[in-house]
Amino acid sequence: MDLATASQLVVSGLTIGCVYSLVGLGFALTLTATELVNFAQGEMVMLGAFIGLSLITMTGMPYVMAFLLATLATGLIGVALERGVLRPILDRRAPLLNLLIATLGLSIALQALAIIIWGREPIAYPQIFSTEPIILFGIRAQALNLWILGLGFAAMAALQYFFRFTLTGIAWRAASLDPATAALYGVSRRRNVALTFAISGALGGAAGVLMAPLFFASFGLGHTVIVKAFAAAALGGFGIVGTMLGGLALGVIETLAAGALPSEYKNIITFAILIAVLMFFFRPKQAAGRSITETAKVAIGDAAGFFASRTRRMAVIAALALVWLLLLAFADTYALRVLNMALISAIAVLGLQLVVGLTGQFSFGHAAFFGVGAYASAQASTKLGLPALLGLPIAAVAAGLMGLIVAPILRLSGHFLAIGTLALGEILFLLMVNLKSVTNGAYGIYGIPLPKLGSYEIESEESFFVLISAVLALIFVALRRILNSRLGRALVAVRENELAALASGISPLREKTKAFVAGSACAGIAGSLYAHYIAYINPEGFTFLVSVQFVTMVVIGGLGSLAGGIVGALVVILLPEYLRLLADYRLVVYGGLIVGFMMFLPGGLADLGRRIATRLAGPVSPRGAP
Amino acid sequence: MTLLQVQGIAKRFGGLAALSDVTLDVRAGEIRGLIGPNGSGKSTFFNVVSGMLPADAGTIRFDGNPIETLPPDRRQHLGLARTFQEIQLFYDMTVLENVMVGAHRTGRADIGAALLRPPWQRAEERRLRELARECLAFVGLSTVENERARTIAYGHQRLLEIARALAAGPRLLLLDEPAAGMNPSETRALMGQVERIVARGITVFLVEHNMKMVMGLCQRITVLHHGQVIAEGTPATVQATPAVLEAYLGRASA
Repeated sequence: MDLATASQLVVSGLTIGCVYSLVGLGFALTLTATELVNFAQGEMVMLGAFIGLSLITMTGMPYVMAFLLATLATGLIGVALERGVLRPILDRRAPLLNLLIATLGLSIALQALAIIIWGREPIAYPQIFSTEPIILFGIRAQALNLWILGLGFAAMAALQYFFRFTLTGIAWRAASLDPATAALYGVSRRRNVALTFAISGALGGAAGVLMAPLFFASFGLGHTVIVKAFAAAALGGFGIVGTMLGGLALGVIETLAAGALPSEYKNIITFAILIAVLMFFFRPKQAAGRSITETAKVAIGDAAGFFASRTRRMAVIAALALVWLLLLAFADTYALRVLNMALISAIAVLGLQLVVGLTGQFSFGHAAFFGVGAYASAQASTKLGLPALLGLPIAAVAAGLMGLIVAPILRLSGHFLAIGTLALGEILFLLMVNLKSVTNGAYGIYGIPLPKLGSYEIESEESFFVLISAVLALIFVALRRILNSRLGRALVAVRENELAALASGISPLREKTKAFVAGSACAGIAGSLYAHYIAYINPEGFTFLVSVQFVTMVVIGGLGSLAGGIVGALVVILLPEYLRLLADYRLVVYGGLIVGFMMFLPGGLADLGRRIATRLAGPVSPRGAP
Repeated sequence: MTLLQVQGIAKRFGGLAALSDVTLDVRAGEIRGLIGPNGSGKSTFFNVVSGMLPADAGTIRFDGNPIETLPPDRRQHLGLARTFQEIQLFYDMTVLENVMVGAHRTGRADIGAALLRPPWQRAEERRLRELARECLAFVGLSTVENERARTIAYGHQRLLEIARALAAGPRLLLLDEPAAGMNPSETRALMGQVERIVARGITVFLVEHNMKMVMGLCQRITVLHHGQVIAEGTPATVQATPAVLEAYLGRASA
């Protein structure tokens, strides 16, 4: 690479880096002021891009004008979301995971809204600037790039001025450092949080208007940029100047790497950098004495009163068995198909429940292990000709091994673990797309054989329903046994209080690794069933959104409750089916329902069930020994 | 016999020397005390000994073996248990489960045994439960064994932490300000408790602010001030040391 090419790459790197900086600043500010990672920040980028586009095409206003108005608009949207959704959840002192899921729900709803308004197809910005290259100090650059750089730097300078020299900005810094003391001097924490969301929203929108002319405006724009923006913020240590520099550095590194390496590895490198930065600089130095589920109502063991009586327990099991038989006998093919998908998800969700609910470790990369299992099983039967059912243990081992390989990431905690596992999931996803010799790339694998039991081929929806239910039941019993054992106590102890676990002779990292490997193995088994059931897999089945869906199932079902995990999977898969009548509004409602769940039922369905069961149990005294 | 031998421990936090060249020993069977004004480094010292914080310099020998490079969980396995100044419990677990976690090291059932439940695993579970019940009875918490740890009274939570530490069958028990937040009658009960722990053959090393408790219980006391040992000896000698009075009362010449 000669100097001229390199310097041009640096300019385009700085341009995209500017975008990362602006979005990253939104992350950094919210994290500093509220200790929250706002996944909806990406949608501010997307909304900014679309609003800017509409302003330009409908009124013909100049680009700079559209930039300012779109920035203002997304700032207002940011405040509205904070007031309407996040503040009520914060006020209820809901656990961290609920807030994360609520912002993900918002993200889904906003994307769906954008599809309704602007459509699914990416839209190009009109040609605003001349494409004639400008030569500046011997470096060729596009006018567009220079505008983006100019506006981006102006926005960052304005922000820096605000935090350094205005009273409001200084008060913000004080309140973020120490809200209680700042409150004594009349700085309202609530106003401060609202201000944070306004600024973050505006920054996201600004970034959207800046990046859309380079990449088109599309409903998925936010997703492409949030992980990198978070990486920028992490590189900069979540400081204001640091994040600005971090974004620029990341943009340049990424662009230079793309110039030197095959382009498909560009994103893998960015995600790897993010994980490395997190592991080096954001690993907690001391074990935390508090639980991520501290304020959650966490299910441990049974709903005490109701299941105290053996008769009641038997009655519930009998009722479930009856429903199952009725479904097997009378449900139509379509209903069974949806149910089968839900039960496959439930198997993966039980594994995630072990990691998130019982051991207290966020994982936003679960779909990757689901995928590893699916590919392992599919290839074992198509390439090696092994029986499909043998794929189940093969998938469990493959996904478990992958879990073991990446388990060092469990040294991270809280938000950083969430983002780290997210990046990990993305890397594995990109490998599925790019390791064509192993996965056949984006084309996927066709003709995955059906499972056979002796000479009987499992083909009908009914027979799959029986097979999948049996595997689910087996895994449910296995996890229940783990929960009620020395290992299970150690896992819950790690979730509850790592400091006390250490003092009790338990190595948190070792126990987390066990849970993670076992949880990944469950996902692998689910992946194997999925592959042989659908008979076709490609990487699209194992994206970040699938991981998000698994976490949503866990939280809606109820953190820490195995039965809740299954119910959560059923609800999350069945609900959108029943919402199909709503057509385009389906995902808006779905996202809204997720947010509503987090607001009004933070303990999940398991908590609701427990309350009902306790009421039904009436005066029966809780059982003595477990 | 010397059970714990701490030699030349130093710990810095940035520019602050939290501990410098701290040397002391604990003999098997004694009740040993560590006192000092606020911020003198007592809790830091306990964190270094139990492995929660790495030391910058110095050696720690437990029963003759160097342990300064071991993580806290391994030190617990060797028989070094502790409680915390700020109570650290598994709040959403029951009182009994908390103590069963404390007994973790005495069991060996792992994932395979949990899944297959062989007879030895069931027997082990029964043994752990009995052991935990015995520890709860010892500190007088049998009546609340099925309560969630977060719901029991503050004084009970302190006792629960002690029961959890005892469940591991430790040889040395580090108690970090066990009387903090207790009223005089609770403190008296706690003193009796400590004496009964020692009677079980467990050595107790105590950090405490309550002078009555320390002077009444400990055979030997070390005084820390600004991270340095300024006095050591029997309660009477320590009380008669001028440097100790200066440290606590802050004479101008200090």
